[in-house]
Amino acid sequence: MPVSPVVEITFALSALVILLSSLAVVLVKNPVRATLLLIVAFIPTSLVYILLQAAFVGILQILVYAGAIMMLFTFVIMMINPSPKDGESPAGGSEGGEGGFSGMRGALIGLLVVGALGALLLPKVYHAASQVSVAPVTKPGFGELSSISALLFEDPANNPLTVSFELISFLILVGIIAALNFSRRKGAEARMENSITTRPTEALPILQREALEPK
Amino acid sequence: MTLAEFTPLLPDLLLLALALAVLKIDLWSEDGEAGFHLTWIGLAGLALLLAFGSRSDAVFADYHITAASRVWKLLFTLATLATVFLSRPYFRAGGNARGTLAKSGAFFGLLLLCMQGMFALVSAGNLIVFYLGLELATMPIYALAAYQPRDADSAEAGSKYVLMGGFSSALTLFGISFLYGATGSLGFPALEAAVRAAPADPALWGGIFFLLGGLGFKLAMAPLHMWAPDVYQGAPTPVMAFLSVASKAAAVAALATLFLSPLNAVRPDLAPCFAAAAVLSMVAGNLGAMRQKDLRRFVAYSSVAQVGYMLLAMLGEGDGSRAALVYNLVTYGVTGFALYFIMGVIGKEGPETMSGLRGLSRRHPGLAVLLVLCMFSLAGVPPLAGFLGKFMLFSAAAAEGHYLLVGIAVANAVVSFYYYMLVVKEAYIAPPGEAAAIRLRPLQIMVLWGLGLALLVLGVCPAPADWLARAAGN
Amino acid sequence: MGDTRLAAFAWEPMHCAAYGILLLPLLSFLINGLWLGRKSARASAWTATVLMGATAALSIIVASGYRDHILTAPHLFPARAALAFEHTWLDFSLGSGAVLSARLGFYLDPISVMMVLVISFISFLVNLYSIGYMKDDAGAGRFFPLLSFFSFTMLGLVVSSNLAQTFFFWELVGAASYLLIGFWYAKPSAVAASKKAFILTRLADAFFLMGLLAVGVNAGSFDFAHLNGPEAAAALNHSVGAGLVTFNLLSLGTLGIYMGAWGKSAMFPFHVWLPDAMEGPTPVSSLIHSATMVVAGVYLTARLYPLFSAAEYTLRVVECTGAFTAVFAAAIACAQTDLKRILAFSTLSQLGLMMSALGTGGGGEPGAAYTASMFHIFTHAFFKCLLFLSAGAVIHAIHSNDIREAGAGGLRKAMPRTYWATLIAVAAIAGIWPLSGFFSKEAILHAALANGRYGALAAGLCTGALTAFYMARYFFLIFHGSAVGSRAPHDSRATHAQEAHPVREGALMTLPILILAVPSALIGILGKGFFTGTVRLWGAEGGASAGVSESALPMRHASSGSWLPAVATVLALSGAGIAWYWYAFRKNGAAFPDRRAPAWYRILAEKFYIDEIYLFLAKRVASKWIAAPAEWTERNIVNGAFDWMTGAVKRLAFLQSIAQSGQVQAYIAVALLGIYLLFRFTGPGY
Repeated sequence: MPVSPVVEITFALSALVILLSSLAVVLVKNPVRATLLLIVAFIPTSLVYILLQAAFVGILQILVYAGAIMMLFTFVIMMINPSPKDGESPAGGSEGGEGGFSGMRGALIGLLVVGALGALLLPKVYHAASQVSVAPVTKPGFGELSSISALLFEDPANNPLTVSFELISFLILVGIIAALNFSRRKGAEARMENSITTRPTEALPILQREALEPK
Repeated sequence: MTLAEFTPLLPDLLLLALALAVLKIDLWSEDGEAGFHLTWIGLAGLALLLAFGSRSDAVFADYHITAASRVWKLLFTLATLATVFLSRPYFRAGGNARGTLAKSGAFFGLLLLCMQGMFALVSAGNLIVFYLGLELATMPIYALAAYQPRDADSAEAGSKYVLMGGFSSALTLFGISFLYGATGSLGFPALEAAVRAAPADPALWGGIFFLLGGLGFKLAMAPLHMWAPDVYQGAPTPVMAFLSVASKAAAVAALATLFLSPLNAVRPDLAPCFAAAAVLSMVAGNLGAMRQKDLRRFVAYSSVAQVGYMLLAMLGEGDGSRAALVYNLVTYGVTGFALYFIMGVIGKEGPETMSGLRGLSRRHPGLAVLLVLCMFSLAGVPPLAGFLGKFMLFSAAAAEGHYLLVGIAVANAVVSFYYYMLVVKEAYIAPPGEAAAIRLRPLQIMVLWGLGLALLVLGVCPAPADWLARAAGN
Repeated sequence: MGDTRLAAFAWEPMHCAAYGILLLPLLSFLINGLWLGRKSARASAWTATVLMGATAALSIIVASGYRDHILTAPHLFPARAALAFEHTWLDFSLGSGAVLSARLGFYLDPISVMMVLVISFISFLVNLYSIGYMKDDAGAGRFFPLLSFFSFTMLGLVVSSNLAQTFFFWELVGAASYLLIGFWYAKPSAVAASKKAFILTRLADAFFLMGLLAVGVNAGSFDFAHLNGPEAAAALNHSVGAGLVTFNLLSLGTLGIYMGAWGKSAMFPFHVWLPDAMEGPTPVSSLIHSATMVVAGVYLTARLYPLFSAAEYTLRVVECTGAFTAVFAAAIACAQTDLKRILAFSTLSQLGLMMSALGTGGGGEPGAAYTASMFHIFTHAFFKCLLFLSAGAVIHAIHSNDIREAGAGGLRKAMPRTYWATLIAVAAIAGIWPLSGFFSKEAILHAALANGRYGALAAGLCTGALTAFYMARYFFLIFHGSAVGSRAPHDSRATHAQEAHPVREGALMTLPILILAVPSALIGILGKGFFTGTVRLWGAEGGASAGVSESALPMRHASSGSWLPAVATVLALSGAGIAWYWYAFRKNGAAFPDRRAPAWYRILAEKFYIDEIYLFLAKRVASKWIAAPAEWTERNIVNGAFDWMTGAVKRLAFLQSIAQSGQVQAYIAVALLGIYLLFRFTGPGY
C-alpha cells in the first residue's frame, strides 16, 4: 500500500529537525538553551507518533515531556545556577585541555565515530527495514484514548500489561530512593562529573611500575 | 480467582512486601540494625520457600512461574543473602578502611528491588515484562555503585554504570522494537512461532543483535565488558559482589530465557556469534587480569573470562546447557563470595589489593587455605567446584562438535592459571609486612566455613547443585 | 565381556581391603593435616608411616585375592579385570537421552594391582625413611600429611575405572606434587620449580582434558572397560573437520590424552620441569621418580593401550618421543655434577624407554611391548627409589648435592650399607645380570625387535650403554673418587663440615634402603615368569581389539634374537668399564681428562689404545657433541620457547591494557564497533 507523499515529507522534515536539535542539545554550552532545544526536539517527535497513528502518545509527549518534565529541568538548572567560567564548558571538561575527549575535540571525535558506525550500519538497517511490510493499522479505534484505557485496565487479572504496570511503579520507586540518596551527599558531585573523563589509561600504572622495578 | 491460586506467586509477593518493609523500617530504626535483620531473615525465608514451597507452575497474565524460574530465583535469593552478609562490616564504623557506608535501609531496599527485577526477568512471558525486569534489575545498581560516600572512585563507578546502562538500555529497546516489527508480537509464545516460521528475517536478526548488545553489557561480555573493571573497582565491595554474581546470574538467566525458548530456533545460526563472543571474553578477561594489582579490577577481569566460558553453554543443546549454566553460576557464586569475604576481611585494615593479601598465610592460615581453594576452583582444578563447572561447559560445547572452541577455552584456562597462582603467591610467598593477626567476626567465620565446605562438597559431591541444574533444565 | 563387577565378593576381605587402600592414606592426610601435624611432628610421622604400612598390607590382601579369585577363574573373568567397587559420582547429560557417567571405582587388573602394590610398598618405605630424614626440619608436621596425600592421589589414579576419575586424580597428583616440590617455600628456587612443574603439567593436562572429552563424548562412555573394547575404537575412527582442517577423531583424541601423559611423564620437550623438581626434599624426589607422578603418564598410556594400539599415528608419536627422550636424557646425564640431577635425567631416560616400548607395539606385537613396558615400570620403581634414598643418605651426610664433594669424603668406609645398596641399584639400572634391570630392559629390547622397530631398538641399546656409563660414573665418583682429582671449589668447606658432623648412617634411614635392595636385586628374576610366562598382562580382550590373535601373545624370549641380551650386556659392561677406568682407576674426578695427571697415568692410558678411542668417544664425542648440544638445546631452545610464549602473552596483556583507556566514550565506541563486527561476520550473510 503506497504511503502518501505528505506523510513522507512530514516524516523526513520531522526526522531532520529531531536530529539537528538533538545534536544541538549536546553541543550547545548554555544549559538553558540546551533545555529549550530539547523541547524543540520533542515537538517533531510527537508529530512522528501522530504519523504512526498513535495520536494519544503524541499528545502525551508534548504534555508530559515538553510541558512537565522540561519545567522541572529548568527549575533544577536555575537552582544549581551553573555559571560557566571562561574556556570551560558546563559539562565539566575544560576546552581543549588535557582531558582527552573534551569540548569540541570530543564532539568531533564522537561525531566521527558515530558517523562511521552509522555509515557502516545504515545500509544494513535500511535493508532490514525495507523488508518489513508497512501497512496502516485498520483496527477501529486504534490509538484512541478509549482503546488504550481498555488495553491497560481491562480484565486486570489476565491483562498482559498488569505486571508491566506494576514493574514501572517499582522503577519509579527506585528512582526516588536513588535520588534521595544522592541529594543528601555533599562533595562527591563535583568529582562525579570530572572523574569520567580524567581516569588515565590502564597501561599507565603498568608503565610506571616497570620504570621503577629493576629488570 | 481464589486465594489458593496465588500460592505459586507467593515468593514474588513476599519479596515485594519485604522490600517495602525494609524501606519502611529504616525510617524508624536509628542504627539500621532492624533493617539488616529483617532483610536476612526475610531472604532466608524466601530461599526456603523457593526451595521447599509450592511446586506447581502457574501463569498470571504474562508472568510465568515455572520450575526453571524458581531455580533462578533461588539462585538470586542466595546471592543477595550472601551480599547482605558480606555488607555487614561495611556499615559499621571501622569495619572497612575505605570508609563506612551509611543508611543500610536504602541499601538493602535497593538490593531487594533489584532482585524483584531479576524475578520479573526470569518469569517474563512477553518482551515488555522482560525489558522492565532488566531495567529494574539494573537501575538500583546505578545508585548502589555510587554508594560509597565522598569517594571519587565510587562516584565514577556510578556514573559510568549509568552511562553504559543507558546506552545498553537503548540498544535493548531498539532490539525489542525490531523484534516486534519482525514478528508483530511481544508475547513469547507468538514470538517463538513467528521465529520458527521465518528464521531468516533480517529485521529479526537486527533485533537479535541489538538485544545481544543490551544483554552483553549486563553480562560484561566482550566487547561490551570495558566498563566492568572501572565499575567493579569503584563500587563498594558488596555491590561489586552483587554485580559479579547476582547481576551476572540475572543476565545469564535473561540470555537463557530468551535464547533457549522463544529464540531457540535461530540459536544454531547464532553459534558463530556466541563462539566469537566467548573467545573474545575469555581472551580479554584473561589478558586483563594478568597484570592487575587491584583485587576488584582483578575480579572484574576474571569474571569477564568466566562469562566467556559460560557462553560456551549457549552452543550446546537446550537442557544440558541450562544445567551447565546453573551449575556454573552456583559454583562461581560460591567461589566468588568466598573470595569477596576474604577481601572484606583484609579490607578492614588496608586496601583490598593484591599487596593487602601479603602474608595472609601467617596472619590467618585458615583464610589463606580458603583463598588457595578459591583460586584453584576458579582455575578449574579438581576436586573443587570450579572444575566440574568448567567440565560441564566444555562437554556441552564438545558434544556439539565445537572442538576448536573447546581447545581455545582450555588454552585460556591454562593462561588463567598463571594469574590465579599470582594471588596464591601473594598470600604465601611474598614477605609480609608487620600487619597484625586477623580476627574474624562470628558471622564471617560462619559464612566462610559454609562457603569453604560448599567449595569442596560441590566438587566432590555435586548432588545439590546437580539437583538445581536438573530442575532448571526441565 | 560379562559382568565385571565383583558382586559375589561383597564384604569379603578383599572388598574391604580395596576401600581401605584408598581410605587409609586419606585418613592419614586428614588426621595429620588437620590436627596431629600441628601438635607433634614426630607423632604425625609415625601415624603416617603406620597407616601407610597398613595400606601396603591391604594391598597384599587385594593382590592375593585378585590372584585367587580372578586370575584362577578365567571363565568368570575373561578379561581378567574386575571392579572391587564402583560408585556413580555424576551423570552428564549428552542430550538425546544419552548419559555420560563419571564414577569412582576400584578397577582390578594385572597392571593396576601391580601398581597398587608398588605404590603402597614404596610409599611406606619412603615414609619410614622420611622419619629420619625430616627429623630436624621445622616443617615436618606439614610434610607427612602431604606425603600421605600424594600416595592417596596416586593410588586413586591407578585404580581408577574410568577416564573421568583418572583425570580427577591426575590433577590431584599434580596439586600434591606442587605442594611437595615447593615444600621449602622460603627458597625461591623451590617455589619456581614447583610453579614450573605445575604449570607445565597443567598445560599438557589441557590437551588431556580435550582428548578425554573428545573420546568420552563420542564413545559414549568414560569407562576403560568400554573404551578398551573394539566398539569404542570403531566409534571413534572417523574424521571430524573444521573447515579445511580435518582430523581423525581417534588419532586426535588419543593424541590429546597422550599429551597429558607426555607432560606428566616429562617427555621431551616437557621434560624441563623434572630436573628442577629436585628442589623438593629427597624423599619426595624418590616418590616422584619411582612410584608416583612421572610413571602416571606411562601408566595412563598403558591403561588405554588397546585404544592407543588402534591409533597407528598416536603410537608412532609415543614411540618417537619415548626413544628420543631416552637417548637425549641419558646423554645429558653423562655431564652432570649434581647427584640428584644425574638421577633425574636417568629417570627421564628410563621413562623414555618405557614409552618407546609402548610405542613399538604398533609393529604387530602389542602384547610384547605392553608387557615389557609394565615390567620395566615395576623394576624401575624399586631400583630408582633405592638410588634416591641412598643419594638422600649421602646428601644428608655431607650436606651437599655436589658429586665432587661427595667423592672427597671417603664415604665407602663411613657408609658401608649405603655403599652396597647403591652398588646394587646402579648395577640394576645398568642392566647387569642377574639384577632386576637386566630382565626388564631385555624385555623392552625384545619387544622392539619382535615388532621390527629397529630405530627404537637402537635407541634402547644406546641408552643402555649410556646408562651404564653415567651410573657407573655416578657410583665411582661418590664412593671411589678422591680429593686429588676434584676441582670442587667448596672442597675444604665440605671436609670441614664432615669433621664437625661425623658421617653416620641413621638406622631409620638405612632400614628402608636395605629393604629396597632386596627387590632391586631379585625382582627381575622372580618377576620374569610372572610378567612373561604364566600370567600374561595382555588379555584376550585387549588382544582381540587390536587385531592380534591369542597364539601370538606369549613372549618370545628364546625364539627371536637370543643375541640381544649378550649385546646389551656387552654394551652395558663396556660403558661401566669406561667409567671405572676413568673415574675410579685414574681418579680423574668429574671433570674432563686432566692434563695435570701424573705421568704414569698417561703411560697406562697409552697402553690401551682402544681405550683412547672409547674415551674419545665417551668424552670428546659423547660429552661435547651429544651431551653439550643437548644441554644447550634444553637451556636455550626449549626453555627459551616457553619463556617466549609467556612473554608474548604478557605483551598481549599490555596491549589490552592500553585499550582500556578509562573513557566511557571509548568504551561505547568499542562496544558499537564490536556489535557491528559481530553482526557483520557472524550474522546471516546478506
